[in-house]
Amino acid sequence: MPAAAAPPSIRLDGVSKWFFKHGKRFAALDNISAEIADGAFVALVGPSGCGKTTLFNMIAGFARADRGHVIYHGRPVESPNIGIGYMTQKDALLPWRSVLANVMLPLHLQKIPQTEARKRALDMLQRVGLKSFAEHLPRELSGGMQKRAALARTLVFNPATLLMDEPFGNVDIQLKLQLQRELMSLWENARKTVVFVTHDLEEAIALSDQVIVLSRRPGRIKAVVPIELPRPRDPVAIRFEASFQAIHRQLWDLTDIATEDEDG
Amino acid sequence: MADTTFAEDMIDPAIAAERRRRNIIFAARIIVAASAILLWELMSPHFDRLVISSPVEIAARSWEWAKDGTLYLNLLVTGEEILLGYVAGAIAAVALGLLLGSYPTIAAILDPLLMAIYGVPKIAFGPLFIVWFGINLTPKVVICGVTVFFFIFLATYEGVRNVDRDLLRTIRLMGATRMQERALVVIPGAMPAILLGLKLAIPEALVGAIVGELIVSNKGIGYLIEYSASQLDSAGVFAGLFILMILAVVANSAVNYATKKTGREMQ
Repeated sequence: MPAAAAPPSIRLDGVSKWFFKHGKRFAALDNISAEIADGAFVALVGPSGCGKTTLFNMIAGFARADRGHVIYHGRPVESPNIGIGYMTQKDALLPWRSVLANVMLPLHLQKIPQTEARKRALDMLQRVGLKSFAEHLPRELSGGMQKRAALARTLVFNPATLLMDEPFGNVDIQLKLQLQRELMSLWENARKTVVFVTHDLEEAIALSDQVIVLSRRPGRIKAVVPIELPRPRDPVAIRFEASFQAIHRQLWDLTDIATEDEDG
Repeated sequence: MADTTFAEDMIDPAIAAERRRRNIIFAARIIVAASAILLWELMSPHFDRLVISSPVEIAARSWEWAKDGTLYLNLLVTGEEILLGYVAGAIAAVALGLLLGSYPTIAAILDPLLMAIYGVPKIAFGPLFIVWFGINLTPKVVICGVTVFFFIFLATYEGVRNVDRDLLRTIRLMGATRMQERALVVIPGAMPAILLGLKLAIPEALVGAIVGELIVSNKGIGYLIEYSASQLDSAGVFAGLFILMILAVVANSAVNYATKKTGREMQ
């Protein structure tokens, strides 16, 4: 559990974001206030179009809030938030570079010497089980391996905060569970701040310390639910615990997901 | 390998069938070309010699030119025009394509101007370039360069615009500078489009140089064609066209080879 006294990693202070369509103004996010503790794993759930990705883009510094502030480690985010790890449903691996060269890229950009970068990248690839595929191109890997490679690249430069926007959104359930397990074991060793967007309630509960439920557009915070399940956790086994199912039921009633079609 | 004797037995039937198909196509191509030439030769006594020559005469004329140095001299002139025009046009096009691709505002400002120039057939610039640059090498190089430029520029520009934004965002968050973004994502991402543009521009380079020569010249393959026509020498006209065909095939193969090589390195 994150220490309650530590200053928050991310603070959202009355954040609103508008969009314009056919000359009319629509609120995508309305007055979002939240604190994400340093080292916490926080899941963000909500129906499609509730502004989850918009919120992410603001934390990453790709978009500005129209009202309110996004504060990252005490500083307002005004430009791309360099040094945070960002992983989306698309793997964003550079297709013309080998897996190893992809994983070395963030280290290279941090001017870490070649041999050291290589060593760290190979070490990270080993941890995600891809060491023997280091010299392959991304397109030569399966979808799951590409996710692992993207995960390795996101973790290798040791970012203090990870933003994960439905990272396992379009993989089959078996692979998804496996990736969740790997993510959990990596995270429980490193304890980075993670904000994890998903529309899969079970995934949210199985992984996180806290679930923030957003409402239908305009996105408002509907509930903040602490997930008091023990750690270290096996995100697969925990699904069968009574405590998990109780939280699941509680969250289910809070979300519109029951009437929701697909996607975020 | 010790067991090469068994290799024949181990070929995948699908691969063997594909190989056979390719051999058939190759043989059929030669047969089609040979019959067309033969038919032409047999029919040629019935044509007016001033209008259509015969394959034998064309071959004889080509051989004559090859022997007395006419071919070499004129090929060298046309080759120089194409090479200089293509290289200059390509460099300018890739540079401007990369620049405008990353600065959409500048691109939007220049767009109508570029499209207006693009819309004019480059032949129409010929007389102007002759007034500006004289009648020797330069106007042909310029016409060739301008023709090539637009093909490669548009390909590069589109290539840069279509670079995956997620890739850019990802490496920006890793702390990449603008220059690094360009070197690591924009240029490699646009490379397939650039290579395609370079390839499509080859026949255009030929067009540019020959058009320039046809307008005014005293050397080059275009000049040979023009001069032969003025002498009512149809064998000479056809021999000139024949040489251009070979030039086009050679240039295409060279670029195919180069792009394949670069393409492989890119991956």
